[in-house]
Amino acid sequence: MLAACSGGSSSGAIDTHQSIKGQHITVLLPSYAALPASMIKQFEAKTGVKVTLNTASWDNIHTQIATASAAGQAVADVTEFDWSWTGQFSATGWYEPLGSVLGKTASSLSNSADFTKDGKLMGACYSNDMRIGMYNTSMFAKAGISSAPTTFGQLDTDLAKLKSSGASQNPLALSLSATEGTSTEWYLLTLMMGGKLFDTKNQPVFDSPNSIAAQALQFEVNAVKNGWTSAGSTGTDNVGADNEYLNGQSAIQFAAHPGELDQAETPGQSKIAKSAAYFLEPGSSGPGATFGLPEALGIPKAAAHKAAAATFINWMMEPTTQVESFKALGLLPCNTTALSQVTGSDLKDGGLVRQETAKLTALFPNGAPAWYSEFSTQAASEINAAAKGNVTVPAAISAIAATARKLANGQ
Amino acid sequence: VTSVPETAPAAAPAPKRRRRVRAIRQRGEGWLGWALCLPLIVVLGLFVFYPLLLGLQMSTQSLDYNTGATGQFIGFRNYVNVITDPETHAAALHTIGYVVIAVAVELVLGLAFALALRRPFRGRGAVLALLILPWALPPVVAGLLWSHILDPGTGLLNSALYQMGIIGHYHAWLNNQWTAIVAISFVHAWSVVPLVTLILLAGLQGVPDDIYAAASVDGASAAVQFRRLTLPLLRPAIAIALTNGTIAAFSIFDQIYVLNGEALSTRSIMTQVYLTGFTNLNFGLGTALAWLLTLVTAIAGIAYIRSLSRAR
Repeated sequence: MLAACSGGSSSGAIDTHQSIKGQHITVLLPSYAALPASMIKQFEAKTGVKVTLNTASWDNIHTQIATASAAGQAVADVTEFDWSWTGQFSATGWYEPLGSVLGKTASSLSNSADFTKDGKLMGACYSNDMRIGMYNTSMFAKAGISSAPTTFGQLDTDLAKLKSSGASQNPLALSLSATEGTSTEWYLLTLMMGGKLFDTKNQPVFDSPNSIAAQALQFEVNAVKNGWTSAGSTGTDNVGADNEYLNGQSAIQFAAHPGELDQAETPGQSKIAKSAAYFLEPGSSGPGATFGLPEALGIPKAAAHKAAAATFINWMMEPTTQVESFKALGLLPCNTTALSQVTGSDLKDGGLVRQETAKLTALFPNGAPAWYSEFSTQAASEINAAAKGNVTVPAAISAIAATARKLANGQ
Repeated sequence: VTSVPETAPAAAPAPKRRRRVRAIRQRGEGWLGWALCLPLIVVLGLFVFYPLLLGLQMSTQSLDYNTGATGQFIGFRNYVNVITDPETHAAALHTIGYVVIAVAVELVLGLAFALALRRPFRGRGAVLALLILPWALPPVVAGLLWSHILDPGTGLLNSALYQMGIIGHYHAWLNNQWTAIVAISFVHAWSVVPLVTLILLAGLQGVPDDIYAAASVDGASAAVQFRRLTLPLLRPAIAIALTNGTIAAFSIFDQIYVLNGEALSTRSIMTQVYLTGFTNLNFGLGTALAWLLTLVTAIAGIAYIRSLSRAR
């Protein structure tokens, strides 16, 4: 079908001055970022542009974009644009650069660098997603632990206590299935331990079996062996791991998102309403680094209503819209004005989130390369195999590094 | 006597005319046949053969969007690359595992269910309706359902086997490569068994009861009747069931994806096609691999159809 639909793409610069009233645009977002109907109505009333909002799982959106774009079509006028797609979609040329669309607004958005390739801004950041730790205070109290761990040494001791005291059968929620969430958790652990994965030329720096990345993977394998993480976590993705924590099965998770505390304290959405708390990601000798996974909006080159799409994106970048979407969906704003407002007053434990934000570290110093998706798939598969005991940690690290080197060198 | 020479020449053109009329009628029927088949030909042409041919064209082009898809003709290079890729070898081996296990399970269970359902009994309709349920479920839903059953901590399978004393401790079935392949094959077979049962049941109901009555009179036991009568007479139905089961097993994807993600140890060729095309954006390589899978599936299908022709 892909082949049958192939055709030329309708590319061209976005004319933001043309009349857009009465136009009808489609917007494709992940289900967790589905804007409430009331917000969409506000935009429609303000601009006269009708919006159809379609949602899909995050993984599925990439497939939909790839299928449509390769056939010269646009899956929607505005689509999700993840930080990890920047290199790939920049190389394919499927998206319009947004520099002229956003104008001065671009400078008020944090994380714009994550969506910039070769000087061109490809996505407008709407979700300042990052990773922060969360723990269950009741389980910690039951195990006789008074505070959250700040180092990996403390973490090991706490996990052993949580398990032996019966506070939690499997106290650590980890994603270890062969999916994207597993790779990102391993990147996060590596950064938390003070390591790095790539140099400025995107060459891997973790080949050695003693590298910090190898230690991070060993930590995950040991977590399964020690029963800190359930054996079934080799089939758990990041959403599943998050649910383990929210359902009160696990006491600790590293991959929580800012705004999750609100969700955890809402009885309908969690079973740990009075026991959830953030903590700074632990490190080797004190709180460690964290990792940002910002998400943006992009306009496919084949989109039918680019000017209306640009108006929608500009509306989404406004501080008021971002604060509102934080209140409705828990998405931390990228707009710096909105971010200050949210972390200053609206966000629960905003001070801790601000502290964690200060520890954000880039995975790729020069932005995600075009081959990121292929690398990430292979990394997740090897981590999954190591967690299952099918390969050793050094063998898995060696295979991941070999894949990265091969891809970075264009082989 | 005199009338003979008169009638003989007059009778001669009659068969000719009849032949001509028959030929015209046959031509008319031929056209009618083509006209009736035309919608099917158009639909198949547009939605099957045209995309297949375009896919074949794509498979001979450089279409790696990560490095800049040039669309340049590169002959069979994509085919050589996928055939020599160790990941393709592993995926092919896993796929063969899925096909062999799933098709064997489907045939054995399908035949058992068809035999059990052959004779009318009270509630047969309800049993048939229930039997169809797994087939009606979307593969992703079936995968999710089984992921709970196979869960190492809370799954029904471990609990049942443990309580029956078959296992001494709970197992993570999907963590070991071969138990994972067997488990996924069973989940796939679970969805396809209803179809196989229905095909075989239809075949069984076409076998006249008189043959069995005669065999019984001749003293043939139930086992002999099954071996000598049922199986040979079911051969066409078995060939159709095998063709369907094999094609479905070669294309296994959803259950693997839901139960074990993109794990290297259980990837099928279809998983590899998906990753190559839609994750790595190398459509040239992906379509080459898809074409190879199509070829292998077609060969298996033709083999079954030929065996069906021989059975007739």
